[in-house]
Amino acid sequence: MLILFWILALTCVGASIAMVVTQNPVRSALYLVITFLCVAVFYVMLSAQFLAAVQIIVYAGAIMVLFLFVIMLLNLGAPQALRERGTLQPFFAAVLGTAFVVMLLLSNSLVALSKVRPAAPPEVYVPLGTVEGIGKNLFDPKQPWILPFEITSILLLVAIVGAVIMAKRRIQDHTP
Amino acid sequence: MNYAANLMSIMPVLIVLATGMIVLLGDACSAQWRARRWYTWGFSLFGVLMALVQAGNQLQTQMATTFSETAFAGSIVTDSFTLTCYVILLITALLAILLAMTYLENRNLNLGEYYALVLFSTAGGMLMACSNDLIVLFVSVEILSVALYVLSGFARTEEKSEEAALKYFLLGAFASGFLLYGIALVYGGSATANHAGTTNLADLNLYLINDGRPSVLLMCGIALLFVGLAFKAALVPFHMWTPDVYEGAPTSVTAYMAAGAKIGAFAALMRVCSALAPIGEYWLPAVQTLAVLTMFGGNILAVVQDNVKRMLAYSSIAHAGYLLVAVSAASVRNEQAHNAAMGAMAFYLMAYAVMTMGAFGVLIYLSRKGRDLQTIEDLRGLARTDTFAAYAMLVFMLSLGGIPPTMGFMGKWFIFSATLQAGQVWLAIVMALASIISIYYYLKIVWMMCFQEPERPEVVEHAVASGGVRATIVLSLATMLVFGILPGALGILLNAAETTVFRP
Repeated sequence: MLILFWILALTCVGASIAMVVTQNPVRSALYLVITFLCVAVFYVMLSAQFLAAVQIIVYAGAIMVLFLFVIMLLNLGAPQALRERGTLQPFFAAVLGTAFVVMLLLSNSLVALSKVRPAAPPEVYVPLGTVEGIGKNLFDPKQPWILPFEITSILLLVAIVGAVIMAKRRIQDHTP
Repeated sequence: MNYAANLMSIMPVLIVLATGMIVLLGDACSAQWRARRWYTWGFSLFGVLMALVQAGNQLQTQMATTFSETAFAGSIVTDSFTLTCYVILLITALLAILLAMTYLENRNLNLGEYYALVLFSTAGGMLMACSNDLIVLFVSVEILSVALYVLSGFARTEEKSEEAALKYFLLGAFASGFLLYGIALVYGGSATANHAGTTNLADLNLYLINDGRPSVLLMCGIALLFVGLAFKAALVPFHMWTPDVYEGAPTSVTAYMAAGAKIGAFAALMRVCSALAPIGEYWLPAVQTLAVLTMFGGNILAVVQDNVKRMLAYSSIAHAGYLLVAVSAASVRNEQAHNAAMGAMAFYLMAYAVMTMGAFGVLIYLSRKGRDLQTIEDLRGLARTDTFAAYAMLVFMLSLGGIPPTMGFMGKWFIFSATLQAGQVWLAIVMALASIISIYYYLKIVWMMCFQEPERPEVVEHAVASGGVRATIVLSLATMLVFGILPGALGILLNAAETTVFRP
């Protein structure tokens, strides 16, 4: 299981890096699909089948198709158009990013990870990523997640209203 | 706690949300523009007033008991700090709605959705003030921000407004990524051998009290959390978007954005900092550095601006710096200093909201049909052509600069003395120095208005001068002067905010 984890982890991180550095937007989007798929497999390994399915259907499926549509509609084929020249920004970003990664690696998590052995399965099995688990977590009044869940609907409503407003090119019948 | 009690504790938020939805629905259903116009505007005002009454009521009961209650299984907390922030945010929303109507009609933008979005983003800010869980905090930050992205691009056919919306949206989404990553790392970093991590701020506080030394993972999480919130509050290394967005957005939106977003962001920052107070020695230097950078950066950059909206944007950055000084003073372990700083912050937020809304209100009042007031040069000799606007602007500028007898002075004074009480003398001195710089550019406007001859001596007819705009200006003026002279009259707010968030 640990070997599988490492293979997936490296693929996932590698695909993310490739996504950022690739000049071609379509390839970049396809690398993102790989990242999403790896994350979906992680969910399966954590016995969160439902989350894995949602990850594939929503992200790898619907959202990526949307991305590709947008890329095609905007005709972002020419890689030169996206390239920035003559700034030190990428350099600083790389330095700071590396520093951050090193800091995370040096943190206790890595120490803890190196001590991990294939322990016995936990005594209480908590189904967090299955349909029942998610349903119980979201709607149980003893859990704190019902309010965030409900206000997410407000967030979506705001986003929908915003999209409609921004997309409407002409407004009729609102002034005398 | 049953459902009814849970819902009662966030009643003001629910009223605002319900009003927003009813406005949206009614706007879609009513056919005639005249009916729609008065309905959307009037009903939004009515809803905000109802919420204000409810929040005031709750504040009164709260003060009798001084009891902070959590609801929804600990994901939100209703204490007097929350309720004070509700009141300030609702007053901001009230003034924003009053300002909007004729201005929008002059620019051919009067849509019901405008009021709905203002209401939703107010609700987002209110939820930020009451959130006791980082997940709730994140979702409510998003509600506030998404509504503001749309509002800043509300003049959809104007290039500047579109640019503002796009810039704000892209950078804001990026900052939200930082915030979310920070939350994830905090969750991971607060895990122990036999306990999963937590995103609940009260639990996090307990964990830090018991466990003393934070892990590196937790520190990284806290740093990212601060980056995300600092962007929303427009603190200096993360302020780049502010002038462009403030300039490009319609002025009525800028007014609301300058006040509302900042109140929400600082309420959230205060919640997070209070939870993290036990390990203050690790992150307090970072906050103080940010405060110094913000105060000087904002003030120095404001000096060289010609555009009034840009100048006010930089001045709002500087004011965020003063507020951050209060956050820093509130994070010490001295009970008395903590209380004083909380009160000072609430007072300053109120003062800032009123004077910003007022100053932008004057700009709206002076904008002509189809054209906004842009440069400082446009204000030349205003005292001759429009005495009311000129003197109102004079008072707002003096208040922003922190000159008595205005609320801005009292607010700065409270923050200053709280910082001294907290033992951060150097920070108080830096704050005083920074606010001396600010007086230069505020007085530049005053000088241009009062001591310069107008280009055209005739009285200019301002298209937008309506009852609503006038009412906003007068209300802000009255609030600012009354509480500037009698700050004790606002003692109710001050005492209320002196709550002991997460203090044993």
